[in-house]
Order: sequence, then C-alpha cells, then structure tokens
Amino acid sequence: MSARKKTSINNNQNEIQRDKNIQISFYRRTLIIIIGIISGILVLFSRAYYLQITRHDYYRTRSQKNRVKSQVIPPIRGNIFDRNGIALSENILSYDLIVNRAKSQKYEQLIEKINQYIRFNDDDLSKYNLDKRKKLFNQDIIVRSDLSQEEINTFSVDLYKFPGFEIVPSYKRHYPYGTLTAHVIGYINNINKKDKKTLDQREYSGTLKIGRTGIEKEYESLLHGQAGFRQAEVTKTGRIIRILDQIDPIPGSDLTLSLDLTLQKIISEELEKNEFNGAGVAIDPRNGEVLALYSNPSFDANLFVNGISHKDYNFLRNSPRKNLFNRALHGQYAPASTIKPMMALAALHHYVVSASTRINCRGYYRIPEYKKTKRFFCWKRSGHGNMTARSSIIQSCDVYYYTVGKELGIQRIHDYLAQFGLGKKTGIDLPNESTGILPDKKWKEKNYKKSWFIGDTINASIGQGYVTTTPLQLAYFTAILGARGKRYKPHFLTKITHPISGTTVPQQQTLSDIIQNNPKAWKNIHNAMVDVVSGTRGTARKMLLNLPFKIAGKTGTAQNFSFRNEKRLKKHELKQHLRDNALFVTYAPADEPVIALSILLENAGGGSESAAPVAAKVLNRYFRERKE
Amino acid sequence: MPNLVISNRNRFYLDIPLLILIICIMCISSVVLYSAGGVDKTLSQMVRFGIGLVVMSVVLFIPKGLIRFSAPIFYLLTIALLVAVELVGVNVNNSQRWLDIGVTKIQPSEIAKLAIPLMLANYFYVRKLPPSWKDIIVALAIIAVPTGLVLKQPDLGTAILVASSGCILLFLAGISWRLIIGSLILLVASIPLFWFYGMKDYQKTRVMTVLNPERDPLGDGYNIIQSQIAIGSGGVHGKGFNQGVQSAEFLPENTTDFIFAVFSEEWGLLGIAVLFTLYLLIILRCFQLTLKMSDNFSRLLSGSLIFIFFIYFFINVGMVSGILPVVGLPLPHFYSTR
Repeated sequence: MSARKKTSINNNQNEIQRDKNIQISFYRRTLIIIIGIISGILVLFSRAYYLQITRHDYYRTRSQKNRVKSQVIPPIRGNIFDRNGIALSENILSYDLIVNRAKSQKYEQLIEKINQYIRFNDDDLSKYNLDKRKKLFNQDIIVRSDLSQEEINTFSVDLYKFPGFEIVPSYKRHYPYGTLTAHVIGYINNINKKDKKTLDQREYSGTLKIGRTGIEKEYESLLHGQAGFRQAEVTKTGRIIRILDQIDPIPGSDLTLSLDLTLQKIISEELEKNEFNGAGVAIDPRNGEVLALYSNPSFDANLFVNGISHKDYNFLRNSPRKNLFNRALHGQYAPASTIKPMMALAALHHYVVSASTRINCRGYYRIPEYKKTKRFFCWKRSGHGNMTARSSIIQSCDVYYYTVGKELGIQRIHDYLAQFGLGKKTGIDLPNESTGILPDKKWKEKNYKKSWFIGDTINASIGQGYVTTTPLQLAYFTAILGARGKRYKPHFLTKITHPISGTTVPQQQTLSDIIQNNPKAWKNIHNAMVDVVSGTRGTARKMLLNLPFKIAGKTGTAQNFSFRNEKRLKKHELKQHLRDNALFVTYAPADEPVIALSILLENAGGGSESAAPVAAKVLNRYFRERKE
Repeated sequence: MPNLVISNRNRFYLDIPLLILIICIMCISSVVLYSAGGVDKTLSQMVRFGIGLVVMSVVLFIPKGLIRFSAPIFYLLTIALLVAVELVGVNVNNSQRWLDIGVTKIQPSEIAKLAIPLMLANYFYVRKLPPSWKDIIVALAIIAVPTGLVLKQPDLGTAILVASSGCILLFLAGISWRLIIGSLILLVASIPLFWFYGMKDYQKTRVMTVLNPERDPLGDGYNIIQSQIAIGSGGVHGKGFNQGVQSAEFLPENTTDFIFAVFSEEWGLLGIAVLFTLYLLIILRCFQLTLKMSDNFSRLLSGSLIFIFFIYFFINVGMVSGILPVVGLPLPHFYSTR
C-alpha cells in the first residue's frame, strides 16, 4: 500500500520534473530561434550595407546612366464614314499641356500662373486634379488639353519659365456630327479598371480610350488597330535619346456604314420641329442596310470623349426628355395598329379568312363564348360595317382583328409575327438592342405567373396589351412587308478598309422568306397599305405627300391610358404623359421600295394626325435630295 | 497578426506595444506606396489595413478552447480544398493554385500554412513532451499530406514554407538534437538530387539568375538588377520622399513584391535600419508573450507562427536585395495585394 503510494508520488515528481525540463527545453530552443532570426536580419542588413555604402558609387552611376526602355506605340484609331463617304469621326491632331511633377519643383505655384497665358478655369482645374489623382508621381499629368494655336504661341514664348511643363501632340477623337449620330456611332472614352481585366494588355497598354457605345463599341476590335513596339535609349528621367528598334503600329480599319447622313439630318429636324420625343428608323428593304436611326432628343457625343464634366452629365441625366435614352434601339412601345397588315397576313396564311371574307363591325366586339362579359370597342364607336382584310387595313378597323385574332389564337399569332422579328433582337450591329415583347402563354406564365386569358389575345390582335416593339423593329417588319416576305438582317457595316489588306465587304447571312399559303395575300395587303395613304377612306389620306409615285403605309395610335368609363378623351383633355403614342410605318415607292421608314412620337396623339405628316415631310425631303 | 490571438489569459488580451509596432509599419507602408503607386493605391491599401485590424479584433474574442477544438476540422477542410484544387482548380501559368468559389478565387495553400501548426499544436497538447517516436511519425504525416499536395500544384516556394511551419513546431516541441542534425545532413545531401530531378527549368533559371543576374540583363535578370540599382543608389540617407526615380521608372511590380526597393531608394540605409528594428521588435515582443504562455498548445502554435512571419520578411527582403531567388512572397504588413 505505502509502496504504491510512494511510486505515485515518485511519478508525480517525475511529471513535475519532466514538465520543468520541457519548459527549459522550450526556453532554450526559443532562444536558439531568436539568435537565428537576429543573425538573419544582420545578414540582410549587411547586404543592404554592401549595396548602399560599399557599392553606392557604382549603383549611383548606373542609376544616372541611360537605359533601354520598352514602349508600346498605340495605333491610330480607324474612322467611320457614312454611305456617301462623309466622315462621321475624325482623329484631330491636338496639343496638350502636360506637367511632370518629378521634373518640376514648384509645379503647384506654377499652375496658378497658367491662366495668364491660356484658358484655365474651374472646369479645367477639376479635370487636372482628377488626372493628378490617377497618375503616379513621375507620370505626365495633363494640365489642359486642346490648346488653340494662339494659346500655343503665347505660352511657348514663356515655356522656359515653367520647368517640367511641356506641350505635346496627341490625337483626339472628334465626331463632326456628334449630336446627329450619337445614338449610332456612340463614343469612345477612358479605359477603366474593369476594361483592363478583359483587354489584351500588350495591345492596349499605350491606348487610353476604348469604344464605349454604338458602332465604336461594336467594332472596337476593327477600329483599334495593332499596337507598335519601340525599344529606346532613355535618360534617367525617361526622355528618349535614341530609338534602337521599332515596330510601327498598324492603324485601325476604316468603316463605311450604310447610314445616310442626309436622311438622318432630315429625320432629326422634322422630329425636333415640334419638339417631339421619339424616333425614326429607315431601312433599305432590298438588302437590310440601315439608312437612318435617330432618337430625339439626342446629345453631343463629343462631351463624353474627354470625360464629361459633372455639370453636363447631371444635366443630361436629369433631363426630362431623357437625351441619353436611345429610343430607336431601347424604347419599347406598343405597335398598335401597325401590326394589322401582319395580322391579316397571318389570318390569310392560316385560312382563317379569305381575302373576300366579310366581318361586320358594329363598333364593338364580344367574345362569342362569353357573351355577357365586357365589350371590346373599335376606335370608331359607330362601327365600320362590313370589313374585308383590305378595307380593315385601310380604315384600321379593330373589330375585324379582334375576330381573326380570336380565331387564330395567341400561339399562331406569336409564331407568325415572330417571323417579322417581333419579340427578339433584329441582330443589328449595335450593342444591347432591346427585344420588345411578343407574348404567348408560356411568356405570361413565366413573367406574370398568371394563365393566359382570351382577352389578352384580343388585345394582342391590335398590337396592344403586352405587345411591345422598338422603333427599329417597326422599321424592320415594314422592310419585310415592302420586300413581300424577303428578309434581310438590318445592319450598318457595309465596307471595312484595312490599311494593309485593303477593302472587304462583310457577308450578310441570308434569312429564309416568310411563309404564306395564300398566293394573293402579299398583293392584297400591299394594295391595302397603298390605299391607307391614297384611298379616300385611308387613315393617312391627309398626310400631304408631294411625290411622283405612290407609297404604302400604316398608321398606329397606342394608348398609354385605359379608359375605364369606356369613353375616349380628346387629346387636349389628357395630361401630356398620358397622351397616345403616334406611329406611322411606310415603305416607298410602293411598287419598288427603296426605303422602309418607321416614325414613333411619344405622347403626340394619333398616328394619322401626328406621325404620318412627319413621315410625309421626311419622305418628301428625302426623295427631293436623292434626285439632286 | 496571429501572435495576439493566443494570449496567456483565457479572456481576450490586446497587446498594446505590439499593436503600436504594427501600426508603425502600416504607416511607413502607406507613405512608400504613395510615392510608388499614387493616391488611389494608397487609399485602397489603407482600406485593407482597416479590414485587417477589424478581423484581428474579431479574432481576439474567439476563446482559445474553440480555436483548439476547431483545429482538426480546419485541417481536414484545408486538405479537402487542396484536393479540390487538384481536381477543379483554375490553371494559371501552368500551375494549379487557385480555387474559384464563385464570389472570389482562393489559394488553399495559403491556408495550409496556418492549418499545419494549428493541427500539430493541437496534437501535442494532449500528449507528453518531448514527443515519442510514434508521435513524431504521426506529426510528420500531418505535415507531409498538405505539403505533398502543394508540391503537386506545383508551388515549390509555398511547399517549403508549409513544411517549415510544421518542422519549426516539431523543433520547439523538443525532438532530440540527434534527429535534428541527422535530418539536416540528409536535407543538404539531397539538394543535388533535387536540383537534377525535382526542380522545373524555370525554377533553376531563377536560382541561376540570383547567382549571376547579368546573364540576361533584359530578361530574367532585369528585376533583380533594377532593384539592386534602386537600393544601391539610395545610399545612407536615400533620395528622399517621392524622389525614387530608379524604382518608379524601371522597376515593374514596384507596388507589390518589390516595394522594399522603393523604400530603400527613398529612405536609404537609415530607413532600412529603422524598418528592420521595427520588424525585430515585433518578433521579440511576440516571443516574449509566447514565453509567458502556460500551455503547450499556445506556446507551440505561437512560436511557429512568429517564425513563419520572419520567413516571409527574410525571403522578401532577400529576394529584392538579390541574395535569394525570386519566389513572390510579400513583405508582411507592408502590402497585401498583387
């Protein structure tokens, strides 16, 4: 017993002894590590001593000697031309005043004196400060860009008083028709951090700007060109003394667009005459070339090239007319009656009606199975009487389309109209085009979690309800109507001129024709659309055309407001933003169309009273210009 | 800043002298970064310092027991991540180190440096020291598995670091001197073998470049030559704040791995003396705290983490001043991004 106790005490003492040993060992080994670390730091310090004291003279001399430095030479960006060779972009040689802080002792004091020689206001000062923040200490800061010749002359004389300051040449992107083409050409602006992650570092290391919107963005890879490379002997401050090796950059390709600047200008002027917010798009139905794409009001793309000032940006962003919004490409509007020709084609194709089938319009429509539910009114409350496919287009009778729409059903409507490009991107060569909406049952279940009602079909039949289209899509389907079912993808680019390999014409992919079972359908609908403009009862008969040939068209009036009391209000009785959108689509000349045009005016009232006259003025002027 | 975590008390403990030292280094770093990288880089670096300090404060409140308890979980998780890298990792420059977890990319080998000391310290906590043969073998296995996985990526630099974080803990745990000396001899003897069979060509080139940077002055040797010119031209006093022409104009990565060259050029040998003293004081203070600790878990973990901290410092400064190959380890507390 006592022996066992003794062992246990012994054990305990052993434990304690052992713990003590471990502690001592830990102390000792920690000390060894500390000694190791201190000697390591001494090794590093003696290395620094060797470099900075013993060999200081050698390294100081080497630091002051000239060295070889590699530089990337940025290529000159390709230019953009309209179909008649008018330059829509330019690279203007301009002169910037720069300062290098590493070479200038008192640059802050000198900056204050700058305005004695050149313009240097608060705006310029804030741009300068912004640039200063971004640059490293030894990088050049742009004090002011775009010096005038006069300013260069005045400043050059006293440049010697400003050590570290320099006037250097550079290319500036300029858009001669900045406001007219802003929504097509877009603009370039400074490369940001996010761009840098995706860009080829070698190609872009000398480039400051990148295509941000429009054609400039879409064809960035063609416009940019190929960077050059230079090895040069430089002084310790980086000034080039001798070029050792140089590979010249290859400028970007020049692009020729199908855009007709004259037509673009005509549309902009006609829209702005009455200060309409809206858009006009023109396509050549023979090949899909986009002749004009204009969104009113526009903005000057040149404002964005050198970094837009806060004042300008806030003005544009807060503008009630939304200048920055590209209505032609992103505005999604109910197409209203402009879809009726396609609806008639669908009905004829599926044998829902024949060309001579008559449907009686009494001013309203009731769904046959639900006689007691609400009535769907025709815009003409007194009724149109007996309507055929042809007269229903000429007079834009709603009841006719309620009836055939009900018979077709939403799926057949969807499938047929989808061939005309509704509800999907047209594939135009501009970034971020909107799709509009061409609804069917699946679409509604997905987006509204509700099942499809028969009333939705009725509304869709006259281009209201869920259906929306962009002005580009309006012009696209009009072009298809004008070409009687032949489809060409809308596009701008017609020619690429590479500085070395020469001119190429991009191939357009071919699209299949629209299927139509009724052999007389195209002619029938075409004649109806001609009579919309020329017939005695046509909805656009008052559009005041002054042309030697006939044109085809269709009006549309899209409600922005539902009339609960079943009585439509007059235009002046409604608030501005609740007024109807006016639409007119047309192709001309009717028999051999060379242009398909869509005009959309926000809150302008009826298509026949507002949009058709604007379209008429555009066409009158366009064909007069074409003749000359 | 793990050294603050394992305190000698059970409740949280913040060591003010250590905090002041670290903040001093952060301030110096910000000043250097301003002249090397401009305002924006300095500001984003300061934001990261802020985040670091916040994380540190949070870690302070984690009880020691919880850290010990979660060590095996953490270790297994690290192994799982390393295996995942092997299977589905992102391949950058022919080595598979990154794991894309949706939000961001992570490099599990960085976690391994923490996981091994944690696991080992936890292992020895319940066992008698000095470790028995059996314990040593288990410990070596604990080190070998993640090291092998990192080596397979391949990432030699990190693998050496991962392995040494475990080895230094074994050393502190008190393995016999015979074993230490024996394995050191073995290590030295295997270097030629390793050179001819284990190393990739680019790794050999890096070592050769240290021995003679002028071999390829515009290629592999460029960074080393330029950084040595930068340091050497600094002299005793340095060129002064924002006057570093050499490092700014001719040294790539002057805001990341080579920032020490910018510092040396502008602040000279005097600046280096101050900076080294600060790092030495941090290390000494940490060891002082370690010696006060009562249990093996805290002591071993803390001791090995301080050593890793030193290794980072030593390899970075050694590489920038041209006595070690370029392996891309950062200067601790000086910058945190590539």
